Amino acid sequence: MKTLTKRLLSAFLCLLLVLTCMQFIGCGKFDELVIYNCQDYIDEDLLEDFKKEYKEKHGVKLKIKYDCFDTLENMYSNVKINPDTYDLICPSDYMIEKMAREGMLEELSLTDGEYKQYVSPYIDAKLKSISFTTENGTKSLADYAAGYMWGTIGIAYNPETVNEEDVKSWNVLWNDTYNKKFTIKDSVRDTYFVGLAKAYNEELYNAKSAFELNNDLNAYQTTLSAIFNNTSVEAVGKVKEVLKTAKTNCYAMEVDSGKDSIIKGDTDIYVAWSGDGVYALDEADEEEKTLNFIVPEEGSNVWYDGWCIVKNAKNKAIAQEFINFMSRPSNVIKNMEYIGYVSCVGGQEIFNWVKETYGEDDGEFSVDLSYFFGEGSFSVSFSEENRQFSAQYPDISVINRCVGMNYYPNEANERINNMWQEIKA
Amino acid sequence: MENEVKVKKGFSFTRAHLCFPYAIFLVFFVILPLILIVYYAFTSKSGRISFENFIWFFSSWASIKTLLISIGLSLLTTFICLLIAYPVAFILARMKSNKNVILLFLFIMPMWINFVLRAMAMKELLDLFGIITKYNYLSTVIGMVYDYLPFMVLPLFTTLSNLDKSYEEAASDLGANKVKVFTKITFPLSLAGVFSGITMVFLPCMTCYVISDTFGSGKVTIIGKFIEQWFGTGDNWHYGSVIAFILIVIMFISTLFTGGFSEDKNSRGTTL
Repeated sequence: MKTLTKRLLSAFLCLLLVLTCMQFIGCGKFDELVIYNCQDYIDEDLLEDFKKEYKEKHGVKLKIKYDCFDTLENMYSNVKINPDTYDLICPSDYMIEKMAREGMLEELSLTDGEYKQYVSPYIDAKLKSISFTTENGTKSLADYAAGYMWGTIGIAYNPETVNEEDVKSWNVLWNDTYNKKFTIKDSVRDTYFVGLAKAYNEELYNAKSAFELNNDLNAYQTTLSAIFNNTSVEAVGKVKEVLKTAKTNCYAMEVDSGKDSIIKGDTDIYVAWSGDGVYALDEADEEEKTLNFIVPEEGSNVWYDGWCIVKNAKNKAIAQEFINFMSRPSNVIKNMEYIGYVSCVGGQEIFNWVKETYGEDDGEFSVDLSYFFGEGSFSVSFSEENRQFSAQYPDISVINRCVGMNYYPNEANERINNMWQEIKA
Repeated sequence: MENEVKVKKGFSFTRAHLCFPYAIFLVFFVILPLILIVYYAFTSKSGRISFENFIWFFSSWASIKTLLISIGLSLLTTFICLLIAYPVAFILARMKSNKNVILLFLFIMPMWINFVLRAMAMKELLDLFGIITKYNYLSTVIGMVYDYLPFMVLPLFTTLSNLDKSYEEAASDLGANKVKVFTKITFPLSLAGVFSGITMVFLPCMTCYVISDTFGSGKVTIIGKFIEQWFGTGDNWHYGSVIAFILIVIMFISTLFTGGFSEDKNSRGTTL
């Protein structure tokens, strides 16, 4: 009995030894990359592809730790508390600005490589348009972020029950005809934006007619940006009044359920991010119902998310390699097919894929995309208007009336959140 | 002398040591967070001790209104839960023991199904009757009752089935009719279960904003939602903490009223 125990014990110890050795051989030296991204915001197969490519290129195994966050604010406080944990993060425009201003981001040095080669000139210009002073001189967001996905905010609607002329204006949400037939977003920033469009409707239309007369895009964009980023006491007060009405009249304030409501037919108007709008249009198509997506005439928001490297990240070089990998057209297409949003990467290859995917049919409605894809002829024609394609890739005329939403400084943010609390109560 | 030293050096495992895991849990997940909440509630953004967060809360009608609405909704939900759960628990407790287990399971089983899934299913059902969008508050209360009912049934069932029947028998022997037996004996003796049921329904109702978001079409706001807002987009942990602190005080007071701290031997084993 005693010998049996001894034998078993020695066999066990031998096994342990072998296992330990194997572990050493298996692991050896490895590199690491820690990514912190929004949920469901990447085709995770691409992580595996990148690992393989890295091994081939550098002969060293790469381990990727991939974490997800649910809200940007959670991501922000997590990175603030654990500045050494993450290498690569993927915040939205206003959060990039906030983090860059607070010195939480490392400057990128993407001088050559796929990102610089393929990034859309439109997104690049957007990133460059927001600049601020740091201790190293004047910097723009392009110094800290590489564009990932982008889109607009618009209205998905049922053309059978909604007059197209009505949804051309944000005023439709305050139109009694559609009482209880529309949903708005249950999120402060997006709905504040819509509220501004109503509160400053006249000013927005004036700016639009001025632009039609003088064709001065810069002046138009500056005016739009000033209106849509107005956080003054007066503006917040005005928005509060219009949003109170909207809350009473809407079918629901939602973050998630609006898609289902319009597909089921409970509502006819769905204020949506373009990605969600396209999803609703697709789902409706499957049920043989037609929905359209439109960006109102007064103007709207264009948003983007970007890859950023956390200040003093340990694996900056690998992170940059990953950004370039993700910007390679074949990978961009794979990723876009998976998550359904529109990449910030342009170029001929993507254009060809887009044209094929959305089935160009040489109809009467053409969409001019040279602003996005760069020099050359990038125009597509369809026989149907306001469908998936123009939601994903809006025509230049739509883009001209879209501006970004900057980050609100502390005091303004508190004012808007207090206002929101009064709306919700 | 030498002996004594030896005793001190040696480690002997006693029952008290079993408490260590819980003590560690308590310090990290209960006491420290509480200290942080109190710290943030009583300091301003510049880090100075101040009452400005309290002034902010009590000078905003939106906050007070939402707090009152939350208390109202929770009270209503608790009351309805009690009305539904008491008879059920009473009948279950009086049944033959092999039958009542199955029936009890039917009441408890919903707790095993994912909460979000349950909420969504119930929402669809209410949608069918057209309640969801027309009566936001009604559907919120229905959602809350649906979700918290098992938490009321269970403590009531435990208390009622552990009740010593000889008291009731004595009462009827002495001439009390059934109604009197219930009002004078059974109900007073089951109060411990009632109170623990109330605590388990009333307190979570105040903060579980997922239910009000789902069932209220985003138009019913309970106070827990504001905590989330100020820790999220609002980016002011001081405001968030002051709401949390005020809730703790309210809950403390309500626990005092429901006798949560009294050492009634009947209440033993009724809280889960």
